[in-house]
Amino acid sequence: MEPELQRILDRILTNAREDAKSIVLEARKSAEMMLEQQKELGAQKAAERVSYILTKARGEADTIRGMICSDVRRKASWMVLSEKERLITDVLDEAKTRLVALAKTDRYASELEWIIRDAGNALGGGGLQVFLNEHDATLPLKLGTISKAISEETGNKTELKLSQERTETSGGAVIKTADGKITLDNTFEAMLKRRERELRLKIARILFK
Amino acid sequence: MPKALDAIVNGESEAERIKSEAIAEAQKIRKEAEAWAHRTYTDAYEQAIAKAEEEAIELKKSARENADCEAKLILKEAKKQIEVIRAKAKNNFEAAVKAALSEFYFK
Repeated sequence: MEPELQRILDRILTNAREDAKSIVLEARKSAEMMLEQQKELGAQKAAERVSYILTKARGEADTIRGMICSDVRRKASWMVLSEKERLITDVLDEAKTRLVALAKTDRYASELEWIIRDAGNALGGGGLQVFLNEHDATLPLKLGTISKAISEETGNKTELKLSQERTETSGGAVIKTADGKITLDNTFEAMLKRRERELRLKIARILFK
Repeated sequence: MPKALDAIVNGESEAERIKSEAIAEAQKIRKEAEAWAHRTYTDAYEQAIAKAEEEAIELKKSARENADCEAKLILKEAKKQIEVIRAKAKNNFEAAVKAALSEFYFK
């Protein structure tokens, strides 16, 4: 074959191969672009849902954090409060113990007389029954003198009588009108119970200052 | 001369065949890409959602961990407060008992 002809044929084939290469390359690029576009479209389409998922998760995260923190704050407050209550109860228990201990001292009889007198005055005098515990009933109480004092203070003739019935208390007295209609319970337990609320406040103010 | 013409015609024919093959391959590539397009779209969508869901789980986990740390601090603070309260109560115990007793007949 003539060299000139061969050159022409080579050029034809070389051009064809280059064109073919370009066609395939172009197709690949176009395919890649299309897939890339689809990828972007997919991500764009998901963006709204992604935003919803993340917003919801942030809300839930806030709720979780809020719940845990508020639970533990409540628990912490409860721990502090219950400890305060325990310490206040310790004081009340000690006060009660000392009251009971004092009821065994010599000066208790005169104090019990004051308790009875105070109750008698509160009931307005008249015929009154005095209920004591087994121990206190043996004390040398001057009921006659107390009756006289109450009579003077209330202007109502008063007669205190020691009941044969005994109380199951640590000390103090229960006073009833003769007809049994009105009772004033001035036993230690009743006095403590009646005043517990205000006592707790008073104790707390002193204890934790 | 006709021999040379034949050779050129044959060469052109071969060139056409090469181009035809390339066009066929290009069409195949495009068709395959078209076939993959929906899958690519779906994959991208699902990947974005899966990533967001993972992020959401991480957010909640992290919130829980942070809250747990905060909770420990709160409890630690409460325990400290209790120690202070106990110390005050120890110092003021006698005064408080006396104050309670002062409400009664016994002093």
